[in-house]
Parts: sequence; C-alpha cells; structure tokens
Amino acid sequence: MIFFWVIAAGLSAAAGGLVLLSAQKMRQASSVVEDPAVSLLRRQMSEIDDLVARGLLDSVERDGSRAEAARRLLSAAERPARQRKSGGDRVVLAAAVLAPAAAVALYLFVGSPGTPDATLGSRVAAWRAADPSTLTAGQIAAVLTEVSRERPADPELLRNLALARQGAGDPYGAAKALRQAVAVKPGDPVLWSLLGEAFMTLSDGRIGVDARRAFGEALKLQPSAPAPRYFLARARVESGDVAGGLADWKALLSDLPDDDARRAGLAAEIASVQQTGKLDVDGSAPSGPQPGNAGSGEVGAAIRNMVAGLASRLKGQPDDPDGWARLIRAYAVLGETEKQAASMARAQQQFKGRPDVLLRLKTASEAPQ
Amino acid sequence: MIVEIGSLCLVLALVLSLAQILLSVAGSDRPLLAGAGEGAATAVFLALCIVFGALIYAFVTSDFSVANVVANSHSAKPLLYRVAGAWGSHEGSMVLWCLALTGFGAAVGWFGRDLPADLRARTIAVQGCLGVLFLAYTVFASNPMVRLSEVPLEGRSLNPLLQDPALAFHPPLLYLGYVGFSVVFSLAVAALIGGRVDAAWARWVRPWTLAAWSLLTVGITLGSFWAYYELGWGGWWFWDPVENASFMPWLIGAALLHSAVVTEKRGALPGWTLFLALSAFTFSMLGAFLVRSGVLTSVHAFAVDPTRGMLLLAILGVTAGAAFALFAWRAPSLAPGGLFAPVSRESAIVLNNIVLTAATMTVLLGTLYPLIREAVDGNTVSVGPPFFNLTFTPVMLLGMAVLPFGPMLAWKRGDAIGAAQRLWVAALLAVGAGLLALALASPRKALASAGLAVGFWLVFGAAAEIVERVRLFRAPWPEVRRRLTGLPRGAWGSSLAHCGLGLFVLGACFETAWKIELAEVMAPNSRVALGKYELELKSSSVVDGPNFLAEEGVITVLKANRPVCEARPQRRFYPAGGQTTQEVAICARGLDQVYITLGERRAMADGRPGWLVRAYFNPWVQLIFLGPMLMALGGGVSLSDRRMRFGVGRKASAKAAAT
Amino acid sequence: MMRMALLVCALFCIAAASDPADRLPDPASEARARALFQEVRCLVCQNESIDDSDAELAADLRKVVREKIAGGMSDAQVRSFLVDRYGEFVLLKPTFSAANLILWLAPLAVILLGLGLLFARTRQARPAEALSPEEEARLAQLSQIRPD
Repeated sequence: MIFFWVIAAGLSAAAGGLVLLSAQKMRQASSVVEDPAVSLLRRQMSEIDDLVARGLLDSVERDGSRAEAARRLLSAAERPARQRKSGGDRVVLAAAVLAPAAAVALYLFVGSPGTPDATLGSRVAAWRAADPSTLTAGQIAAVLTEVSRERPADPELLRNLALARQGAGDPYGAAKALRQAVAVKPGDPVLWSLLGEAFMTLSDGRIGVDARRAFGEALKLQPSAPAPRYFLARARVESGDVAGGLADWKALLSDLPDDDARRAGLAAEIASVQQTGKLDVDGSAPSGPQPGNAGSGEVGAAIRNMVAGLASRLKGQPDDPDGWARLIRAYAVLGETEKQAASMARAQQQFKGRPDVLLRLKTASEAPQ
Repeated sequence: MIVEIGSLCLVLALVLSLAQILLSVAGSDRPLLAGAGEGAATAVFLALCIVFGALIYAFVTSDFSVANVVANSHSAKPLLYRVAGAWGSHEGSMVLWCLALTGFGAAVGWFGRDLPADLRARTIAVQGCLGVLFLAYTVFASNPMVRLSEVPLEGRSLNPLLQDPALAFHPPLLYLGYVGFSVVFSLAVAALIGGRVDAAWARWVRPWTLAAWSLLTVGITLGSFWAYYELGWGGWWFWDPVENASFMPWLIGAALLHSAVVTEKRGALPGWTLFLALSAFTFSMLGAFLVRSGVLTSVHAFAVDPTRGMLLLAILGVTAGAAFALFAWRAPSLAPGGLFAPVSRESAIVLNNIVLTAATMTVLLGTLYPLIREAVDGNTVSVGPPFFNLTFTPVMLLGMAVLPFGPMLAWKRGDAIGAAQRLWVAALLAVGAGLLALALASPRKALASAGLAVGFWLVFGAAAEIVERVRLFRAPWPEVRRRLTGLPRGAWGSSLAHCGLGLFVLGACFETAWKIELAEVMAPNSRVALGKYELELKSSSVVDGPNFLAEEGVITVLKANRPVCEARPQRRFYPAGGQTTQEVAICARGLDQVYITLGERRAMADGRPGWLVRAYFNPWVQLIFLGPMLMALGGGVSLSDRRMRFGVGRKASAKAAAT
Repeated sequence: MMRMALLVCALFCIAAASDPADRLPDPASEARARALFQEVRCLVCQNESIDDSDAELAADLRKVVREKIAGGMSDAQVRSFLVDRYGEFVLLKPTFSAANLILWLAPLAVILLGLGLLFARTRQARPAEALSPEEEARLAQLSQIRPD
C-alpha cells in the first residue's frame, strides 16, 4: 500500500517534471527563428529548375511557375513576424503541480486504491499453501492444474484433477485430464472407465461412440470391472437391445458381492427397465454400481470437507439456490446418493414455488456421473 | 498494485490532457507555455503507455479481479491471444485508441520542429481536446481497470474464431490508421484558427496523411485476409457496415494524399484540402461509432451498447460539428491559390478527388441508407453487395481509366497529346492483355476482360511513368543510371502504389469472374475435378486439439495426375462454447489458390460414409492481398523521401552556413 | 474485433447454397437460382445473402426460390414475389424507385457537380504574370540575407 503511494507520487512528480523540463528547453531555444515556411518555399523554388531538367516543365511554364513560387516566398518572408511574448513561468509551475495533484484526487473517486493485484498465479500459490478443506472444487482444480504442469505424467494426480474439475462443473476439462491420464497409464481400467463416464457427461448422459470405446478398453483390462460392465450394458439398452442389456445387468448383479451397497440400485433399475422396456430417462441419472471414486486421497477429503461446510451453512441460510445446486452436485460427485436425495428433498421443499430453481437442482443432480 | 498504477495513470492522462490544452492554447504566442504543453503531451502518452502495459499485464497474468479481463479472457488461452485480448474488448480498444491519439499528439511535439510555433502549439491544443474527449469517455464510461470485489475463478471468453494471428494484429494497425488522421484533423483546425492555409501547411499535412493511410491499408488488408481464410466461403470483401466503416476514411485519405500535393505545389485548392483533412478523421470517428454503437447491427446484438454509442455519437457530433462550423466561417476568406488549365496535373488530381469523393458518398449512403429510409418513411430496405458492385465499381473504374495520365501531365498546363504519346505502349499492352483474356479465358466474359485490361493499364502505366522519368530507351545508359539513382523516393512510392492498385484490380477481376466452385459428397479415395486440378480424399481422422475436437480430411490436390500438394482441412468442434468452425486448407500455386473446406459427414447413396467437401479454385487471388500491401509499401517509400522528412530545411541551411 | 459481426455468420453460415443435395437438375436454372440468391437477404442474418447463409430461414428461402424457378418464373417475377411476401427489406439491391433515387443517383450527382466546378474553375486559367523588376529586387535581397 505504501509502496503503491510511493510509486504514485513518483509518477506524478515525473509528469510534472516533464512539463517543467520541456518548458525549460523551450526557454533556452533561440528566440529568433526564421519562419519554417520560408525555408520550405525556398526549397520549392529550387525544385522548379529540377522539374525543367527532367523535362516536366518547359521554359515558358518555368517563368510562370517561378513567378508564382517567388510571390509565395516573398509574401511569406515579408509577413511581419509574430510578437512572441515571454513569461508564463508561474502558469507552467502551477500546471506542473496542480495537474498531478488533481489526477490523484480524481483517482481516489474513480479507482480502487489499495486493491492488490490478483493474478491467477499468485492466487493458485495461495490456495496451494492453504488448508485444502477451505477450498472449493474449482480452487482445487486450479491448484491441481498447476501441479499437473509440474508432474504431467502422474496418473493419480490427473485423476484427482478430473474429479475436481467435474466437481467444479467443468466436464470438458475433466475429460481432457482423463484423456491425458489414460495416455500416461493406458493399463489402468479405472481411468478408462472414468474417461467413459466423462464422455457420457459431455454428451448429456448418452453413451456415445467415444464412451463405449473407453468402457471397452476398461473391460479388456479387467473383464470383471463392474462400472464398465454396467455402462456397456446400459448402452445396449439405450441402443434398443433391451434383452441383451438386461441379461448383462443380471449377470453383473449376480457377480456383485452380497454386501455391495450398489446392488439395490442396480436391482431397482433392472426392475424398472423390465417393466417399461426402456431406460427411465426422467429419473435420476444411472445409479448403478459406480465405485466411489472420490473417496481416495487428500483431494477427496478436501472436497468432503468443503461439502460438509456448505451443508452446514445451508442449514443456517437455506435461501440460496446456488448453494443447494452446488451441494447436490457435490454429493453426486462423491457418490453419496442418500445424502443427495435428502438434500434434494429439502431443497425442493424450500423452492417449491420456483420452477426455475427446481430445474437447476435437477440438472445439478444429473450433471456428473 | 500494477493494475491500480494503470488506473491512476489513466486518470493522470486525462487531467494532463486538460493541462495540455490550456498550456498549448496560451502557448501560441508564448514559447515557454508551448514547451510546457508539449511536455504535457509527452507525459500523457507515457502515462497511457503505462495504462496499456498494466492492462496487458492483467490479461497475461489472468488477473480476474479486473472486470474487463473476466469478460474477455480465459486462463487457457495461448499467450498471444491473452495479449491480444487486451485490445479485443471495447474498453481495451478505447485505451488503444487513446494511446494512438496521444502518441500522435506527442509526436507533433517531437517531430514538428519545422512547423511554425503558433501552428504547432494550436495543433497540440486541438489534439489535446480530442484526447480529453476520448479519455473522459474511457475513464467514466468505459474504464478497463474496474475491479471486482468477488474475484471469479475463470474468465468467460474463449471464442475460437478470434484466436487468430491476423485478427490479433488487425485492430492495432487499423486504429493507428484511423487515429493517424487525427493529426491531420488537428493541423487543419489549427490552420483555420490561425488563418494560414498555404503550400507550407500542405507539406506538413502530407507525411501524416501518408503514414495514417499506409497503416490503414495494411489494417484493412489483414482484416480482409482474415475473413477470407477464416470464414470458410472464400469471400474477401462483404460490403459489411463494419468493413465500410474502415473503407471510408481510407478513400478520403487517398483523396487527401493527392489534393495536398496540389496545395503544396501550386497553393491551389486550400479549402478543399482542408475539407478533406477534416473529413478523414470524421469518417474515422464515424467508423468507431458505427462499429461500437450497433446502430447498423440491430439483428445480431454483438458489442451493442446504446449508451456508449450515444456518447460516441456525441463526441463525433461535437468535434466534427465544431470543426466544420469553423471551416464554414473561415474558408471563404482563404486565398484561392494558383489557377490551372483543364488539361494539367492539377485537373487530373481534381478528377481523382471527384472520383474518390463520389465513391465515398456511395459507400456512405449505401451504409446509412437503411437508417435514412427508416427515419423518412418507416420502410426498411437493405443495401448489399449487388448495389455496391453496380455503383462503386463503375465510379472507380472511371478514375482508373484516367489515372495513368496524371503523372504524365505537367503542372498548370499539360500536353494531352504528349502524355498520350508517352502512354501508347502501355495502352496497347493493356488492351492486348484484355483481348487475350477475352479470347483465352473460359467461360468468355467481356466485362471481366475489360476489368483486366484496366488492371494492366494501371500496372503498365505505373511502369511507363518510371521509364519516362529516367528516359529509358531515349537517353544514353549513363544518363539513365544517373536519373534512376536520382529519382526521388516519392516518385517510386507513387508508382508502387499505382502498380499495387493495378495488381489488386487484376486479382479482384480474375478471381471474381473465373473462380471455380465445387461442393461434392466425397467417399474416401474418390476424386473430383476442380478446373485443371483434381481433388482426392485420402482419409479422414479425428484429431484431438488443445481445446477442440476436429475431424481432419487429408485431401491430395493433383494436376495432370501428379500430386501438387496435400491439404488438411478441419471441421472443429469447440465443446466450451458448443461452436463448430471450419479450418480452411489453402494450397497456393503461384498467384492461384486451391481453397478447401471439410463439411459434415453424410451417408452416400450406397450407404458408405462420405464427407461434404467444398473447394474453390481462386485464380490470381494472391494479388488481391499483395496489391494493397504494395500500395502500403508505396506509402512507406514516399514517407522515407528526403523532402518529406521534418527538419530537412534546417539541416540544409546549417550545412550551408558551415561551408 | 472489427469483424465481430461477421463472426455471427461464421458460426452459422457455412456456404450452404451449393449443397449438392438441394441443387436443381438443370444447370442453367441452378445458375440462375445462385445468381438470385446473391441478391436476396437472409432476413435473420446481419448483412448476408441467402447464398452465404446457413440459417434455417435462408435454407427455406433458397427452397422457395428454386421452386419458383423450376416452376418457370422469370427472375423479375421471383423478385416481386419475394418483395410481396417479405417487403423490400428482402432485396440486397434496393429497387430503382423514387424513394431510392438519392441512393442510386448520388454518385453520378457528385461526379457531375465536381466536373462542373472543375470546368468553371479551369476556364479562368491564365499564365501568371512575370515578376516585376521590383519583385525581382526583393527576391534578390531575400536571397542575400540567407543564401541557399
């Protein structure tokens, strides 16, 4: 702050100084100067001979042109010189002092004195040093982006980056990080599966060519992996092969251990599809057996802490559509379906009369998979 | 802190501009105050350099506490486009405008030592008035340094089409050109106040006009080239209001370049030259207003801001209104200047001015007519390319038909027969080339062939001028060489510029008349013919870009069954904004280009996948961009002429005194 | 940035007029249609003809024009049909009518006015009188003060 004012004072002084200096220089310049127009017209007269030599002016025209130019020269040379006055020192001094002073005064109204710079680099550095639990998903994503520049070949880091970006509502960035991750570590089925899910998010929950290819890779590496099996089966249902998809799902269900929390969801979905013959697109997004990815590591803890903080804040100040949307999305990221459903119900109660908010909440609950 | 230093300097520049006006007005007869005014002008410029530097710093470091950075940048943008983002926004572009404006104002102080003291002081005062108006607008209505209390995580702008090198440098050059005319404007107002508009004044106007006009030429050409290869349908001029806005000051600037010569050499046309000097910058401001206010772009609301538009209109009204009122008051008392015969260099230049003025009127009316009709009878009309092609083109062709005669005529009273004798070879060659085109080019097009003849007429006419000046084929070689080395740069400059105009006409006529268009759904490994070339789609693959996904076609261009180049057009999808763009692939072959874009994937009749490939064979299209560049080069060469430099007179007399 | 306006169309208008799927079978009719497209404004675009625009409405208009041409209408008939339906706004080349007279004749008027002034002025041209001895003397004196 003091440094800023020192620089400001320096700049003001420099501006005033420049005005004084420039005035001083003019004082020293000789006071008797020939009118520059005269020397210019002299040159023009000598050019006339040049034109004759080039054949652009015949000798008859030469006389006329010379007469013209000479008359212009004479009238310029014989013009009475303007009276140049001296003095004005006090005006110059006043201007040199008052102008910068007035500028600083005006700046106090127009500018934001004392506001420090907030370059992204310095902010990220501050977040890196801070307690992760105080950070939002977006801030964590920014930190991890920075870290991933230092360690571009760390698949675990890239995975966390993807999760953080997903949590911050940047599915494209998440997919990008995962593409990088599978390039670094192509033998990891979990990464491939996550990449497939990221592609799904990008195409509004549909399982497109890219997603299918990614799930296929995951399955090639680990034929028993539940997540890719679930989604590939879902893709079969989506593309019309309901029977085939259901068969795959049932096989998956029987392979899941009895105490797996995901069984219930899958069984419910099988029942629903059997009944209606199609996917329940209006319901909440696929609640199948996705591994709780965000549970591992420091980042997961940070996100959890952030979510807990948000939840407690919303308890106190429930009129915050943004906050609820973020909370619901965060629960979706963490795979905490029950908490998500509970907060969804709470939020729906809160914003009963506001369909726009309800729609946003719904989108939030579906966004990340 | 750096941002706040910038914010302070912006205010400092405004207040110092006020001081600049007061000191310079009082300084018209007091050297001390005039010097202080020049010092203030320099200080304003330096302060704005700091502002601009701080703004670029904020963009480069992604300082999202600055509202302007948030709205116009993104941390994922490549460095060049983060830097360019500093002048890509409305606020930033106004800073650039002010920077150029005050830079030119300070330059009058630095380089204007040969101007009479009172004229110089008044010019700097007028330049200060312009500075105050635009700086006040920037500080109070369009401040780029406004801070946010809640600093967001990321910026909002990542428009892929704007991320292009040509577009990064197009605005600064364009603005330097626009604003360069401000000096000419200030010189004109100062001369009107002082009541002295003579040959000397015209000579001082010329270098500034040349510099501004050359920069504007480069700026417009870059913009046109960008549209040509980025928008994907091979057009290079659309008669869009935005383009017209930059074209009008260019036309007026070209007229001014010529009329100032008459005023300088003969003292004639002082009123008209003054009028053009005032008009050039008025049209520049009109351009800024048209683009920024959105009055003409009501359908698609890009950068539309009525309040700011009204403020800019007010600035335009105040400055132009005051200047032209002064003109109306003082112009009748100006000395009429030298007389000249109907056939003379002066008449030729006046003819040039008539043509350029008529062309400007055409563009101006065409651009504003929809507004005028709507105001008069409530009807909405459109004025588009077909109108301009029917009106603007013949007017300009008329001017070009007589252009080569100008430099061949003597001042005051020319010799029409003599000029014709000097030009008959050029005329014969041009007509021959036109007839050749009529006979050989297929399909046969008479109008375009005539256009080509005009283009060749300009090129050969420019060459004939140099030939004539050095007496090639008529004088012995040593004399020719002596004349060649002694030829003033100004002569080279004007010949280059006229030749560049000819090249442009050749390119524009040839490309427009004989371009070949193709749109086919192509299966892999199939071939289609495009004029004398063939295109073969080799393969298509998906490419993963830094922030886009692209489908890339590999297309071999063949001529007589020999591959001549490989084109890789892309169809890109930017997920961030959901935009699809086309990356054109261009194969340059001599003066021609094969221009290829890849369209969407489609099923062929037999069920195989195919790609919609669009391609153009654009003959001589390179001339369309090379010609104007040559014109700008001509301007630069003229500017380097010894006679154009400031301070020459003083140095020469100093040398004379020493010997 | 000066070309923001064009960007809008860049996003939507990807030279759709030459789509092979829509072409008329007769090349001469197709050429006529293409020439007409360039004179017809894409009503929702900024300043674009339907030849350049990929907007949906432009595609509809192209279809209409092609149908009318295939149905045997002359160019003038198609134009007046479009004007009846959408108003004069649809034509990129304003009609040569009384209301548009200024627009069409302004360039000609400027040229005629300029030529008239030029003619009037050059008629007065006379050779400049030679310098009088008195002026020569002043000139010589001036040269003495500051030899060039």
